[in-house]
This record gives sequence, structure tokens and C-alpha cells, in this order.
Amino acid sequence: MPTVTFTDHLGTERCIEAKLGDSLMRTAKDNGVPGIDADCGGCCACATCGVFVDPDWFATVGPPGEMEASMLECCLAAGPHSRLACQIEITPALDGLRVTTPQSQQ
Amino acid sequence: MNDLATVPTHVDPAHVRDYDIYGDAIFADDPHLAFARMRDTAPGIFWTPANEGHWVVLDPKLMDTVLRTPEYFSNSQTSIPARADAPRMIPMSLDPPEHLQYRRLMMSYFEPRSIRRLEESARGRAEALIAAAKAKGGTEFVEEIAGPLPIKVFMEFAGFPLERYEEFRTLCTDFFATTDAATRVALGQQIVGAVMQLVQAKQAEPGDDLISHLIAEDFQGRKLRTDELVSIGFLLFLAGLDTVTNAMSFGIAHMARNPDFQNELRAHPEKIPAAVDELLRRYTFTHTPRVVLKETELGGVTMKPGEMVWNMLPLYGLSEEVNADPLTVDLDRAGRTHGAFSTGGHVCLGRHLGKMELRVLYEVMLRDLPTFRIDESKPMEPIRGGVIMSMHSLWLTW
Repeated sequence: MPTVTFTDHLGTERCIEAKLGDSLMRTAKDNGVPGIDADCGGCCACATCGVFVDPDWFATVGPPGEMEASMLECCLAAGPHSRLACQIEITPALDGLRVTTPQSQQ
Repeated sequence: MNDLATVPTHVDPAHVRDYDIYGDAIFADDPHLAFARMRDTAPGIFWTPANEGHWVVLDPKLMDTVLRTPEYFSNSQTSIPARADAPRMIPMSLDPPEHLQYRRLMMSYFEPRSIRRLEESARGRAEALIAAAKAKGGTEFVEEIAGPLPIKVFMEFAGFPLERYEEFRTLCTDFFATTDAATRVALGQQIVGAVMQLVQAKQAEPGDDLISHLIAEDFQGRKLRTDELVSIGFLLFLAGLDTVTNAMSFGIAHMARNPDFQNELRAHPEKIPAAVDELLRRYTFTHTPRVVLKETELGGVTMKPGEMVWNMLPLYGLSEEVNADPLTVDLDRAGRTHGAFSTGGHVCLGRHLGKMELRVLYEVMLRDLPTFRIDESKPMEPIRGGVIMSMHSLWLTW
């Protein structure tokens, strides 16, 4: 199973074994990773599961789609490598992925 | 008045219970306790023959599926019994992908950073209303505080004229209170008329309010049409004028019955944000209807297109598998989860605004009033059922 590392805004790292086909949001929620609210449960409708993707990983993860990019404008802390975790599907290519969760989603 | 429909042949009798979402006997006493008991004895999903027959979902996992799978469970019909002439509400009556475009347009105005500027006005109103009540030594909390506080904050924010407060609140209360579908449609048309007047007034003379901003917005490279603005305004009217009032009433009723809880919060005001969520969880009063689009299986039943589904959101946070010891109000509860704002693509847009108003009310009320309790000399009216459960009155004394 691919391993994903979540770093919170204080720098604490959580290394999680993710299930293929799950979203990154579901991976975080099922493993009690803080900093992911996901109020809508994965419908790209609430902008509360924003993460900063490690710049080295951004090309592999890929850019947000049109609606997701629009939703990200509503995130309190969005940057050039932001994505909504509910829109990232865990694939074998994401083994080793590193993302940071923002302080605003605590 | 309920039409007892025959149970459809595809429904297993083991999955049938009689439950009237508007006027069931369980609303007479303590409905939340009754909901929890229902969860212990009924299947996670059942068919009720009341109100022309529909599904009732009790199991949180099944609610997740219904609320997060719009391909099967649509918002295009949310009246129970279904009404072809029910007014359309944007974006609530829509499904993806259309829904998300309108929702995104509205989101800018409801995000935490956008509603922060409303806190000062909310606090000022709360302080004035509570000071007036304090001078009298008691209050009918719903009429004097829980009604005017959030409704006036919201009317100001949306651009509804404050001098029409009484009229708007009555229209909204009657809309949710009626059990007669034709009356509800007629009241809906009256509300649409009032919203139409407002939209036209703002088109002629814009102000610094939500409706005026929406009139000026670019949406998919064009301006919103008047019918779209009225449809949005109708939803704002219904969603914004009654929900926070009831959240406040249920929350304060708990505090009035539990002086120790008030004392804990007075000693630890930093726990008030947790109290906001914990009381929303313990006393969730909202429900979300959906209509089945395509035949599907859920929780051991077969659901057919056109059948209505009633999600019992109060049971989301009152289920053991979601929160341990769910009937206990616990400010330090770990992993607290509730369904007060629903979930899925239609999760409440105003949840940050509602929670801010609840926090401000609790802060001011606990700071400015001595220990308050239920005034036993006054009548306690039964709770009204329906989409938004409601307390008609709550007499407090101190």
C-alpha cells in the first residue's frame, strides 16, 4: 500500500498507509489526521480539505480541475501547490507523497 | 392529516414502521430521546406509510450514502409528500454539475473570513436584547432573543428591510409549521412575492448587501437573471430566518435545565465553541429530504425512482457508532461528529455564520445573566416536527 506523509502546521509528521482508490481526504479522515475538516464528505463543495502538496510532488499529483481551482479560492490558506484532498485519488504513483495541512482547518 | 398510502409491494414488511415526520406522537415530549430509542428498535432504514409513504433513514452510514450520491438521490424534489408545484430554490434544488457553479458563487459570501465582519453587529444586538430581558427579570426567549437576533443579523446581511421583520418571521414560521402541502405552496408563493419586491428594489438601488452583490456578480460570463435571484433569495429566506433561532432555543433550553453546565462554561468561557458544536450534536433539529432518481439498494431495501427519502439528521450525532454515550453532553468529547449541517454537496452554506451567532449568544448570555432556569409557571408547548424542528416558546427566569 502507498505511504503518505501528512505534516501539520506545527511540523508534526504522520506517516499513513493509504488504500488504493481512496481519496487523500478519506485516508486522512479514516486515520484521524487533524487539519482536514471535509464538511461535505468529498463532493468538492466546501473547500475544507485543502492541503499544500510538497512542491517536489506537485507535478505527479497534477493541478486542480476547473471547479476545484475555483473552490480553492475560498480556502483561507491557498497557495500555488494547494489541492483539495478529496479530489486526489491514491494511486501507486503517489507512494511517498508528502502534504502539509493548514492551520485554518483545525 | 395524513394519507395512509399502501406499502409498495417491493417493500419488505420488516422494513415498515409508522412514523409521521410532521405530527408524530413522539414530538409531544422529548423527541431527541425518542429518536435515540427509535434507533435502538427500528431498522437503519424503513418505509413509513404516513404522508403518502416515504423512506426514513436512521443509520448515519446510510445517510452518508444518500447525501453524498446525487446520481441516485436528488435534490430536485424536497417536499414530502412530493409536490410538482413546490418553488425551486437555487442552489438547494439543483444537482451537480449545475449545483456546484451556483454554490461556488454563493460561497464567497459565507466563508469564515466573509462573515467575520458580521460578528460586531451580532454582538451588539445580543447585548441589547439580553439587557432588555435582564431588566424584566425573565424572558420568553424565542420571541425576545432567539427570533430577533439571528434573523435581524441575517436580514441586514442579505439586504431584507428590517422594518418587515415581524411579517417575514411570521411567513417563515407558518411555512415550516403547516402540515398541509397546499398551504405550504401558497405561503411559498407569498415569500417569493416578497423576495421579488426586494430584488427589484435592489436592482433599482443597490446597497452593500448580499442581494446587491449577487446582482452585480458575473456568473458563467453573464449576470444572474431575476428569476435566478428570486430563487436564491427564497432559499436564503427559508434557510436564514428560522434555523439559527431553533439552534439557539434548543441550546439555551439545555443550559436552563442544567445549571452546572452553565457554571462550567462561566468558569471556562474558552469551552464555548465546543459547547456550540456539542449542543448542535445533542439537539440536531434539521432533516434533509431527497428523491430517488434511479433504482438502487440501500441497507437491505430496494428503492424505486420517485420515492422520497427522509434523512433523520438528529440521529447522525446521536448514534453510538459515531459518538460514544451520545445522549450525554460532554464538552471534552473527542472526535465529535454530527449532522446538524448535513453533509455532501449541499452541506449548509451558512454553517460558519450560524456557529458564530451561537457562540456570540452563549458568550453574552452567560456573561450578562445570572444562572437562568426554565420558568415552570409558564406553559411548555410541544416541539413542532418537520424539516426544521422548532420550539414555539421557551420561558426563562433567573
